[in-house]
Parts: sequence; C-alpha cells; structure tokens
Amino acid sequence: MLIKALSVKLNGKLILKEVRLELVKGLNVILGPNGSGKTTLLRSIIGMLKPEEGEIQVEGERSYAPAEFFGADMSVLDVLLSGGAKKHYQEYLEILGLSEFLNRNFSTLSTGEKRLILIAKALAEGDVVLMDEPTSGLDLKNQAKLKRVLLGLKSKTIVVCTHDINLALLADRVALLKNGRIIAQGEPKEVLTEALLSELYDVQVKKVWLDGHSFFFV
Amino acid sequence: MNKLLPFFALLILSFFVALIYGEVYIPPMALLHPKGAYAIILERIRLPTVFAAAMIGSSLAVCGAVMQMLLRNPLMDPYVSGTASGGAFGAVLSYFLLVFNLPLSYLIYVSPLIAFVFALLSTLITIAIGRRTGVYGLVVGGVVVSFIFSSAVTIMITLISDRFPFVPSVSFWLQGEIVAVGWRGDVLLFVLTVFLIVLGMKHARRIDLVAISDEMSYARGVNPNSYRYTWVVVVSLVSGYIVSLVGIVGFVGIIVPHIVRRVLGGSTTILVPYSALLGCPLLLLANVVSSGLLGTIIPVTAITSLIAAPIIVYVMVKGIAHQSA
Repeated sequence: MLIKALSVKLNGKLILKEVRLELVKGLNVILGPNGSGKTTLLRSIIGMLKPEEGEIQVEGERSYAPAEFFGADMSVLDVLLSGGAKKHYQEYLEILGLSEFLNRNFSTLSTGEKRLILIAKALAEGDVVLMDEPTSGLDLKNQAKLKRVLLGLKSKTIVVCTHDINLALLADRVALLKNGRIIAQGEPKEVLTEALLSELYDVQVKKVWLDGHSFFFV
Repeated sequence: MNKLLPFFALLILSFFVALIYGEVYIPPMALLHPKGAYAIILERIRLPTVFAAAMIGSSLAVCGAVMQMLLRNPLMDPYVSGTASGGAFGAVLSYFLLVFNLPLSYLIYVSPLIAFVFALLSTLITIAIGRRTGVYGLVVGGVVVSFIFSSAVTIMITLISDRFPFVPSVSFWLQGEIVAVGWRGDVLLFVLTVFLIVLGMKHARRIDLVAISDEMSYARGVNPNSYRYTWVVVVSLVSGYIVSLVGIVGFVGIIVPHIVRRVLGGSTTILVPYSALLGCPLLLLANVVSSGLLGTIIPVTAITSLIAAPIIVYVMVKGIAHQSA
C-alpha cells in the first residue's frame, strides 16, 4: 500500500509536505517528534482530513485506535459493539487479557485499560489498523502484551505512530517523519541509526547493545 | 424483560391518573362507563390531551438522550440547546405576520414549519457558539440563544395580545401548556414520535460510536459532523412541531435520560427505548399537576424545571459534564 506525494493542510498551515510512504503487511511504525504530523497523517488515511494534493492508495477496511477519546458511560461490550458489531472481539480481548472487563462500565476503567479496549476493537475490525501512540500510558505488562499481539498479526497492515523507538525496532517497516516530511523509511536496521535518529529528534541519540538487542537512549 | 415491567406499570398507572385528574375531575367509574358530560370531556379533550402529553414526553426524552450522546454533554436537551425557544419564535412569528398584515402572512398555515426552521436555526447558533467555548459552552450558548428568542416572543405577543386576545399568552409559549390538542395534532405527534424512536433504535450503535471518537467514526465510514447535523435537523423537526402545538416543554430531555442512565446504563441501545418509555409517565404526571391539581393551571415547564433542578446540580457537582478520557 502506498501513500503518494501527500500534502495536507490544517487551519491553513501545511502540515504534511509531499509525503511518500510505503506500507507493508505486518507492523509499520512511524516515528517523529511532537508536531511532526503523525496524527495528521493517520487522520488523512481515514478520510478525516482532505489532502491538498497526493494520493492514498490503501485497500481494505480501516480501523483506528485513537490517542484521545471521550469517556463512554456504557459497558465495555457496548463500546466494542459501537458502530455495529463486525467481528468477534472475543479473540483479541483474550489475547490482551481484557475478557474480565467485558461487562464493566467503560468509564470506570483506567486510561490504559480503556486504550487497550479500543486497540482490541481496532484490531478486530480492520484490515488496515491505525494506532496513535498505543503504548503511551500502558504499564510494562500491558506494553509487553501489546507488542506480542502486534508482532503476531502478519495478515493485517498495522500502522503505528509512536515515540517508542524500541517498538520500532521490532517492526517490519519504519518511517521517520520530521516537520511533515519523511526523512527515511525502510527496514528498522537501515533506518534506526544513531545518525538518523539524532537528526529526527534534534538531540544526540545513542545506541547500545544488550543481550543481543539494541536499545536507544538519549 | 423484567426490567420493562416497572416501566410499563408506571406508564399504565400514570395514564390512569392523567385521565382522572384534569381541569375536571372524572371519577374512575365514569372512565369505564362514560356518560353525558364526562363522555364528551373524555373524547374531545381529556383523551387527546393525555395522549399528546404521553407522545410529547416520550419524544422529548428521546431527543434529549440522542443530543446528550452526540454532543457529548449530559446537560443537553431541546430546551437547553435553544431549539425550543427558536421553535416558539417561529410559531409566534407566523401569528405576528398574520395579525399585522405583514408580507408572508400566509405562513400561518404552515406555522409548524416555520417553527421548525427557527428551531433548526437556533440550534445551529448554539452549536456554533458552544463548539468554541469549552465544556459548558453549549449550555451557555443555549441560554443566550433562548434569551434572545424568548424575548422576541414576549415582545411580539405583547404587541399582538391587545388586539387579538385569542392568540396564546406569553406563558403558554415560553412555559408550555398541554391543553386542547386535537386528534389531528395527535396523529402527527404519534407519527413523529414513532419515527423518532425507530430511527433512534436503528442508529443506536452508530450514535454510540460518534459519541466516543470522531476518528473511529471516520474509520467506519461515518462523517461525525454531518451525522450530528442530520440528527439536529430531526430533533428540530420534532421539537418545532411540539412547540407550535403546546409551547415550550422543557427539561424532559434532561430528567429522563439521566434517570435511565443511572438505573440501567448509558448506551444508546438502552437510552432510546427506556427514555421513550419513561418520558410518558413523567410528562403525564407533570401535566396532571399542571392542569389543575393545585387549583389552577400552571405551565408545565415550571413543574419539569423543579424536577430537573436537583438533577442538573448533581450532574454539575459530580463533574460528569466534562467528558474526556
């Protein structure tokens, strides 16, 4: 799937500038500093924002797990069924360990739990699953669960916007978005270098090897 | 299904009470075998009025529930949003044009339609104000819009009433009186109410989705903003007609969904049918008080506002009105 020469304006300001992005089946991660246009990119893919120019060639049902949403005074089951029941949510709920929450009131859950529910919903519903900062606000156990799930889903095209560089290391494809432009994209080992990441975040990033895995820190 | 039982029991009981108590007391025995004056009152006045009150209570409750979900604000109903005040303005305007022989005076024939147009306009203004001003913006916007249109109604009626005392009074328009609704009004009320309830139940899951997240709505192919505006049109249509018939009946849309939410749950699949069911007895009983229980006719919104006041305070104090994850 391909995004070609996408330029998107928000409130008169050009946020995305001729973005060309290739997406593959499996996990695609988009890294970028705050304000680089990651959310704008996701919103353009679902049709919420209309591009000034460019094309989005994405096929299949889309679903979205948002970073921010409104508290719903209804059961978790009702939240999952909102928009009309499409798939069996059971499977994803179980993998993420959320089955016990099914009949609880959504608004009584913690923010992290709420996010996970919406992630489960998005994973169940879409072939192209967009996630805005899915690991943010999750404790380590839930982060681990989520990562396991994301890595196991090769049949779906998952597009994740995140600050979590260590998640990007596990992806099938990574893109770096800075000031509305893609400065690099490709396999994690090509893209996640000290040089490129330091350029992306305007700060000296160091890479360290530990137990056969690489980690990044500032 | 045993959740429905208390609602139906309440409904039947309140119908019974409403048929008996009105401006004229009809003894229960006379209900079963109506004769003479009682028969005439029952058939011409009591039954159509009671039926109207039930339909109005039901549809205003459903309007409130839907507005609260879509606008993400538990203090919304067709009155608070300024919709009803706009409707009153439209209805009175058509009288005004006729009475003073102004251009377009033929609009009196379609006064419910004019009521709808201004109900819609006032709601759009409230939303325009409310969108930019934070959580209570919609409420404040609605209050401002209500002020403007209610004042216009007051001015127009005052100018009319000297010469044409048969035009309903200011308190009829601004506070509502469910009296003298004929069978023709009832038929249209019934159609609109059923239409509203069926539409609400069919769209329940979609309404839930739009309430939770705009992005998720877009992903499922629903444009949340056009969706909201479509429902605003529907609510304005129903409220506009009700106002042209009985004046502003307020707060039903706040009271009923709040109770349903606390007792049964807050998803639209629950809110729509149970608000429809609870709205009937609420307005029937409020109307019993309104139409003479205290010795004289009291506008019905005065009574519903007393019931709603503690609920509104509760919602505000508990901070329920600022919804964000």
